[in-house]
Amino acid sequence: MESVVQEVDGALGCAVADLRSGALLGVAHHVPYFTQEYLEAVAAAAVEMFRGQTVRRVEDLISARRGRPSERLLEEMQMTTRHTIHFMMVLPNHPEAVVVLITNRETALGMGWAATRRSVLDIEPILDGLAN
Amino acid sequence: MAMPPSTGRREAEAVARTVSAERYDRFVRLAQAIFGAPIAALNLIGNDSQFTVASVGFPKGEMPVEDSVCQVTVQQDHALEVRDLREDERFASIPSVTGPPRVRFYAGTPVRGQSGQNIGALCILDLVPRRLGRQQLEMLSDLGALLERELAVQEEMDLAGQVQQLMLPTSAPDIDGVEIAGRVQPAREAGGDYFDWFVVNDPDGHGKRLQVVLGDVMGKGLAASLIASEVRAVLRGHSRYTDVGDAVSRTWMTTHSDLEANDRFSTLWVGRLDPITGELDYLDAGHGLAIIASQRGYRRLTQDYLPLGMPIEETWVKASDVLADDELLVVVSDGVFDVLDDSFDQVEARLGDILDPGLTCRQIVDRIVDFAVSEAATDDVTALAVRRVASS
Amino acid sequence: MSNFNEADQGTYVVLAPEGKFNLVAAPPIKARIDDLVAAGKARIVVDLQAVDFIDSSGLGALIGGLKTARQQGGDVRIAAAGEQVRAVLKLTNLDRILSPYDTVEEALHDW
Repeated sequence: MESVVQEVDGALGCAVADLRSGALLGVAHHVPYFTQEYLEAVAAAAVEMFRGQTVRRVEDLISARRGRPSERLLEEMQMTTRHTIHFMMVLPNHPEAVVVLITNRETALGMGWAATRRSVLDIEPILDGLAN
Repeated sequence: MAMPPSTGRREAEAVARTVSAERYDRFVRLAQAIFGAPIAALNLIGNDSQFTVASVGFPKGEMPVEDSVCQVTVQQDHALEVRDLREDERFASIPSVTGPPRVRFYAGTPVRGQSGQNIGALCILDLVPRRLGRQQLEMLSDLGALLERELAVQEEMDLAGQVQQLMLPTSAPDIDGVEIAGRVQPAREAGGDYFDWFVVNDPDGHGKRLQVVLGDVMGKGLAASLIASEVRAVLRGHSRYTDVGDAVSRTWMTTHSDLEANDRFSTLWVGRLDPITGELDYLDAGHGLAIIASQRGYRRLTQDYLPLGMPIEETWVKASDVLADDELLVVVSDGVFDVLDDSFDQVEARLGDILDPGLTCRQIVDRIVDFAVSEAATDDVTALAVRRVASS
Repeated sequence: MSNFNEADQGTYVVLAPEGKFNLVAAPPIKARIDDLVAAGKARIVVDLQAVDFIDSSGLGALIGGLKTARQQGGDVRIAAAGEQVRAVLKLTNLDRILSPYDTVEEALHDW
């Protein structure tokens, strides 16, 4: 995650959170105001966005309409605030975890997504290890 | 399983050996940013291996060609897109799909080489199934076309450099009693430094002489090398019929308008040696870097003439010296002088490195050039060494 | 080095390059001399005090500039050349055309 923060222009921090518990699994940043408290709040917000009640209801409705059992459909989300962009992505081989890359507004979207998706290559092996 | 042999495969392997990654890194960086892809690469397809020569998110290096997706891309004329590699029986069991990085999506555009055949592909990969759509596929092809142009320019330059090297004399001149060696290390693929040697008949009819030449055209790269070729050829032509002073005068007359039109000048040092007597006629047109050295010391073989290409017409007259049989004639270009801080004191201090009588001229020349290159010379580097030997 | 200082003194102009006067630095300086001469300012002094290295491209720019200036009745003169620059000028005998003056004032002697 450290390398993602280094290589992306405008990157402020990167975090991995567990969608089941809301716990922070890992973090990398070099911004002073990214306190533990703030990052835990970011992780909690990510869980809320991917697993919040409203989202679940929408996913259930869509699944039902397709005649399929309820599925988690939300895979990636981008949130742009006044000063930041959050690139959030469920890890393809670890759907219980989500990675969040936080950058300032200058970061090119293509670069932000390329880096977020690339971080999966480094993060998943670590999660594989934890699971064993 | 190897690829069907073809010129495309051979060219790919040649390019993979000489390519500099930095040049093509910019294409993969752009690709990953444009498409938001975690992995982007330029892969060259050889007979048995795929060479990843530039990449983001994937290690550079070699892998078996049967494990690559790009090996299919090179066999067609348009981009290859695979929405989900796991569901394509051609690729479902290759290592990068079944194991890390567990890629699922691929889009690659074939890249053509000078041979006119595809030598590799520029590709992007993702970890989830995807589709690019027509517009994005066109953009990928656009990037591929830009990369092809870059490759073509690079291959042209490499070829120019090879042609230039092949024009330099390598075999011993057809004259008894001398040992000679020379070497050029251009700063780029081709350059303005050159040396030459050939046998001429003494204009006074008294036997054969060895003419040695070192020229240095201002600047570097292809433009300088073209001028160097011209000067070299013209001097060769004129040298057959006159002494060195006249040969240089005539060369100036023939080439000066081309030199001036291109705003370039060329220094030139020409020597003509009688191996039997050691008599050495020479002409120094602004070069100044020819010495005769031995255990007794060294002396410079220099004159006051300007380099060729100046708007002033000179009357070039040769000078003479004698190369004793224990002396060494060494001529270098200013690329060598620069690493010695343009100081003859430093030159003198290092003469011991090359005056060992056990060294061949080849070894002497290699020592000089390797030394300059190791000192990070930024200019073309050339050295010539000549010695008289007992006739066989 | 991509910058050089320029001082227009009315009857003449002083250009002062810095650092390495080489393949990269030479073309802009030659271009500037050409522009100045085309604009009628053909008396140019190149102050080399801050130049620590010159190669054949730098020499070419000075010689080329000198030709252009002389064609318009002016001249390019060099001043305050350091050790390396003087050594290279002497080696190539180009000090016969580009006489290195010690100071800018001396270079201006009849201007």
